Formats: sequence, structure tokens, C-alpha cells
Amino acid sequence: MLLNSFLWAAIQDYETAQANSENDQQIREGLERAQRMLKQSQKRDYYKILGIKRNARKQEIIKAYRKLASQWHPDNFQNEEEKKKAEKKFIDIAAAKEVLTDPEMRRKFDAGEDPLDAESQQGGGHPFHRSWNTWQGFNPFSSGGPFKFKFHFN
Amino acid sequence: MEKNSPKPALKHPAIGIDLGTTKSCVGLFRDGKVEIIGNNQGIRTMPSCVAFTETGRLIGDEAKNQAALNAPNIIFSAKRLIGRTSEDPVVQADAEFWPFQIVKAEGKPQLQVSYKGKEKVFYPEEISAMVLGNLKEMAEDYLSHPITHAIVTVPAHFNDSQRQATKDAGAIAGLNVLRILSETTAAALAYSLDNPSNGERNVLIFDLGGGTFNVSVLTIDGGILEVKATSGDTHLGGDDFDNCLVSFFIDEFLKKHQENISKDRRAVWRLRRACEAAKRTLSSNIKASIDLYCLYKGIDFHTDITRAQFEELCADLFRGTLKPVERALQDAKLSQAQIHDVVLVGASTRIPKIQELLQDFFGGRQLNKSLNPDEAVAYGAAVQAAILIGERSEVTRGLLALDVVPMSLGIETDAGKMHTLIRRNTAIPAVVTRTFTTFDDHQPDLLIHAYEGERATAKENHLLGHFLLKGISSAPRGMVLVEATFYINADGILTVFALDKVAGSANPIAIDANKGRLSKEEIQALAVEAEKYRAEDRVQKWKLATKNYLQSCAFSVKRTSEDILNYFTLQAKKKVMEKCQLAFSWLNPTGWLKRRRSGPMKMVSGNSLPGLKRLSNSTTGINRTKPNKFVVTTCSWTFQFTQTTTVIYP
Repeated sequence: MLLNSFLWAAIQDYETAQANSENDQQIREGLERAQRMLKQSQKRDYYKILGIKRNARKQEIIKAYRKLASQWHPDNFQNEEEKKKAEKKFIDIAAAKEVLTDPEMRRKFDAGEDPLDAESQQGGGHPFHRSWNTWQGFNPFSSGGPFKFKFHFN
Repeated sequence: MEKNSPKPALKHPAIGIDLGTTKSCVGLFRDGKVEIIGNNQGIRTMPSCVAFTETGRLIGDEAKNQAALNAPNIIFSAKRLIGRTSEDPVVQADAEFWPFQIVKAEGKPQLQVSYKGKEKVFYPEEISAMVLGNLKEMAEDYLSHPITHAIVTVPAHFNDSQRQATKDAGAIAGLNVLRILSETTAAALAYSLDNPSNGERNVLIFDLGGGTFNVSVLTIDGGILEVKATSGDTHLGGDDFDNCLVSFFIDEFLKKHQENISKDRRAVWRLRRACEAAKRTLSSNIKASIDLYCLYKGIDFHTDITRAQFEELCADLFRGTLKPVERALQDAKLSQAQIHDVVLVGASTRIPKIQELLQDFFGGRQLNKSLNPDEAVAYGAAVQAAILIGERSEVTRGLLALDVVPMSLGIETDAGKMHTLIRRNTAIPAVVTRTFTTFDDHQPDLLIHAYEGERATAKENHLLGHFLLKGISSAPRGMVLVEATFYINADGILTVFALDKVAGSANPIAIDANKGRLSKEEIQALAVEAEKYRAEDRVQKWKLATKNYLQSCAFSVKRTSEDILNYFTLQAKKKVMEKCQLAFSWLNPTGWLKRRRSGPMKMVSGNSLPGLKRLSNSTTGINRTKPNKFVVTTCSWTFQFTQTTTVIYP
């Protein structure tokens, strides 16, 4: 949180600076960096999810994944509420393993992008057809969770 | 229909069902081990076959043994239709070989039969539900306990609609399907129970059944089974080998006798059954013969086929099994040498040529044939059922299967391209969220086309369905944010949720999901109907049982009265005989058939002394007190006890 508010302050500073001198290369780069860092800080930290160090080897990642997965797999829970909770956790754990065991995705993540995030995958643009298009990729997992919504079939 | 309790009650047993294309099997985990449940003749696999007749419906062996006479009313291989559209080329190709009639209903295939003298149509889900219902009853008989929960297995490569349809079949059968489990995963569970190991092992499950083919690569570490990759063909199996043989023999018949039998459903059905038997023989012998009397227009058909011929006929199909193996290894990023064990499951893996090809592919390594190829899947499903209902025993403790999505799932983008949301072999359950916005001002809804498959062009993949997001708040274009969440549950079934990011949950978005499947109401109606059929079956069975009982009572009275002649006056004996005759004529087949009324019959029985008195008083053993009520008094040889039975026919 402390880091977040610091970043916010930095962004605001940069923005004021940019308003004053619009074409300053240094200010723009600084602003972009601060924004990226803020975004990352709001995202899932796959290392933290698996409880491993940033320099963990693949074998360690897999071991950690198996341990956590067997702990949090929804099949291990009978109570519906616990099941839902475990399922959310399991989905995070599985995503962390997917990213960190793939060298390409792990490199991206280490560089500050979320490879499972739509925006960084497509590099913006309007990929969707006709009446709608993507506007922005959101962090797929941090918001609320899908289970509170009404669902209409099945 | 049984009341659907919202939450599974944990103390109830749950069965594991292998719902196969040609054969099905049911298992139950109890007291720390799996029991595969046999029918009353001790046969542990049941043909997935339903026959409709003039008097009722037959399921399993009885249905399959329905002679060629009734061929158009014997339904088999419903699994090849389930979850497919009637336009599916696979369905149309299959229909040529099947003796039964397929009709279209709103894009869905339906099966038309004549049942009790009336034309009836059934969805493939209903046929599967009949098979499931029969397996359920088998398990109930075995346990003497009602069963409501089950796990049903499907081929790992079954897509979303096929899985959903299988689940619907379970609901129609009155089962709460706890999980749709991949067959290979189930087999892997069975394997890991039999081969406990502490180290990490890579295992390839090769499952070639009657109608489907699946390959899964798993890493087993302790009790954790992690599916690495899965691949397969939902339309390759023993049935296809039979088809090869059938076509071959139809040609041979044409050459030999200048007659084309392919239009005669009855002849083709007889030939098919003979081919199936020959195929089995060829797994152990190098030659099999076919002898069919009066196959067509009074012509007998006698011929042989050698194993080499059979292998040549099916060579392409056999070789085709290696491609999915290669792909699964590729996806798992493992080489042949890194696989510790190649496990064979499914009846068709008994074919020597297939074993040979696979063995060669793995550099001559010995294949693991330790699992029972017919029962392993049901075995694993029963284990998974025990895990899911929380019945933890020594054996299942720590056992966990981590399954994956068999096919990539995505949506169609602007240029008709496939945009993958969830890649194949991602662990399930899985969630992906994307945000969409409107393109026009005040656009009221968004349409999303979801596809599954690996091709870059969306249209070349399988269309899963349309999701219409309705009730979006009115705003200029680009100002609305709709967050759509694609959720694949542990069954591998997709659900879409949506949220209006701007208006929040205050403005719920309705989703019209059109996946071409049965609606909830339809399923409910079908379940009610299925219960009606089951009730009819029960009445039929009960009628037979009472008839049988009354008949044996009458025989017993007749015999007794002959034996104890000394105690009877001649006149009394004559009276007894008359009464017996009355009962027999009442029970004779023609009379019995006329009395085809529904409703249960009652049998009341108990020991009574007055019965003996009545017997000796020559008021006799059988009394027809009302037109539909018989009181039968039997007594033991020694007059030690008597029993009075009342049979009431409604």
C-alpha cells in the first residue's frame, strides 16, 4: 500500500510536469514506467501465490504448485462456500504455475507484464468484430470474482 | 422423478459409471476398495443398448440379444450422437451403417423407433439416460440402497456440448452427476492405486474403446495426478473396425452371389454381429470364420478372414492411433524415452496389431497391461466418486486428479480469427475475464461467438454457442464496459457471466446462451417421462413375478393334494384339481396378455393354522375370492406349517 501511494504521487508529479512541458522525453518515460509499476503492483504476484523466491528453479515451482494444488483443489472440500473459495485460490495457483513454468511467459512477467492479461498480449488495437471490440484488458482475476453474478443456464 | 436435493447429502453412496459407446460398467467404492457391480447373471459390463418392443423396453444384454427380427428398434452407439448436431458429417456417415432411423428435430438428431406399436422419437440423451438408469438400478439392487449421486466418464476429448449432453442424460436418469470425468483420467486413478510410487512418473494412458480413442499424458507424483496433455479422436474405435469388416463382407457377398445386401437392415445387423465376434476371435486366433444361414434371399454365407486380412483392412485406422499419441507427447513436452509407463485401457487394445504399433513407437518397450481393459475406467470413476463425497479411506487419502481443458477455447474476433482465451491443456477449473465495449451509440446488447479448437480461423473450429449479453446500460459508444467472465468448471463445461462495469451489479446483464442443448425445462420434462418408462418397466417385472409366484403356488397345491390323497376324500381332491385348473387357465399366456392393465399387484403371505384346516376340510388350496383375488394355501409335506398367500390383481 505504501508503495502504491508513493507511485500514485509519482504519477501525479509526472502528469503535472508533463502538462507544463509536453514534449519532454524524460518525463514521458518516467510517467510510463511509474504507471506500469503501479499496474503491476495491483496485479497478482505469481511468485507470491506459489510462495517461492523470484529466482526459483522450475523444479521448485512445480513442487510448490503440486503442494498448493493438492491443498486447495476444490475437490477436497465438501462445503459449498469453502469449495468456491478453494476454487478461486486454485485458479490463481494454476495460473501462477502456467506463467512461471513457461520460460517465455516467465520472462514477460519478470519484465513487468502479465502474460495472461489481454492487453499486453494483443498490444491494444480493436480485435473484435462488428458491434463490439475490446477496449481495455483488465486484470482478469483481481476483481470480485465471477461467482456473485447471476448466471443463466446450465 | 426423484426430488433433486440441492446439496448432495454426504452419507449417500456415489457410484462411478463408465458410459461407453458399446459397453458400460458401474463401480462402487466401499470399505477401502472398489467393487465392480455385475448384473444378476454376474456379467460386469453391459452393452449400451436399448431395444423397444411390442410389450416394453429392454436394456443391456437383453436388448442386444433381441434377434435381428427387431433390428430397426435396437438403439446402440448413442454416444456417437450425443451432443452433436444432425448436420455433423460424422452423424451422417454413421447413419448409413445403423439399422435404426435418425430424424432431425431443430438441428438435433433424434432416434425413431416403434415402441408398444407406436412411433416414438427419442433424443440420444434419453437413450443414454436409459442405460444410466439401468446401471443405477443394478447398483441399487446390489447395495439394497437408493443411489442418487454418480460420476459419469466421457472421453477426454469430448467437447463442451458432448459433456453437457452427457450430464443432461444423467439428470434425465434421476442422477445427480457430481462430475463429468475424463475416461483416461479415471484409468490413471485406477493405475495409480495399483501402482503406488513415491517418485515422479510420467505415464501415457492409451484408451481405445468401442467408439472413442483417447490419449493422456500424466505426471504422477505421490497421490497427485497431473494431466499434462490430452488428445484423441472421439470417433475411432472397435465400431469402426467392425464397419471395415462389414463393408468388406458386403463386397464379398456381392462378388460371390451378385446380391447387394446393404439395404437389408436385418441382414446387415446379423453380419455386423458376426463381424464383431470374428474381430474378437482374431485377437487370439489368426483365423476366424463367419457362418450365417439364410443371410439374404435364402443364401447362406460362409467365409473366413485371417488376421493379416483384418489388419490390412483397418491399417489406416490402426496407424491413425499414433498421431494423437505423438501430439499428446508434443503438448506435454516429453519424449518417448521420458515416459515411464504406457498403460493400455479399452477393449480394442487387445488387438495385437495395435499393441505392436504402439510398442514399436515406444522403441520396443513392454506395454503395461495390468489394468482390466473393460473395467479400469469404472474403477477409477468409483475412486473419484469416493474422493468427491469425502469418503476418505487409507487408499484414497491424498489422491487427487488435476484435469485439463481438452481443446482451446476462444472467441471470434473482427477478422473472423480465433482469439484463444483458454489454451488447451490448461488446468481446470479455470477462469478468464475480458472486457468488451459497445461499437454503436446506445447499443443494447453484445453478441459473443464462442468456439473451441486449434485452428486460427474461428469458422474452422467447433462453434460452442452464442452468448448474447442483454440489458447493457444506454450510453455513447465506447463508454460502456462489460466484463465477461468465461468459466470452465471441473466438468470441463463453459459458463459465461457478465457484469456491467460502469453501472455495477445494479444493472445485471442477462445472457442468452444458445449452445444448442436441451433447456432446463426440457430436461425436467424428459426426466418425468423417463420415470414413467421406469414405472412401466417395474409394473412389467412385478406382473411377471406375481404370475410366476401364483403359478408355483398352484403347482405346489396340486402336487400336495396328490401326495396326501389318503387324507382327502376323492371328491375333495377333485375340487382341489378344479381350483388349480382355474388358476392355470387364468394364468395362461393368451388370457394373461389380454389382462394388460397397469398398476401393481399385491401379494400378501403369512403362516396360518386355519389354512391347514381349510385344506383338510377340502375348502381347498386355491380360492378365487373375487375375480381378481386369489387366496392360495400351501402346506409343507409334513403338515408342519402352512402358508396362505393372497394374490390380488388390479
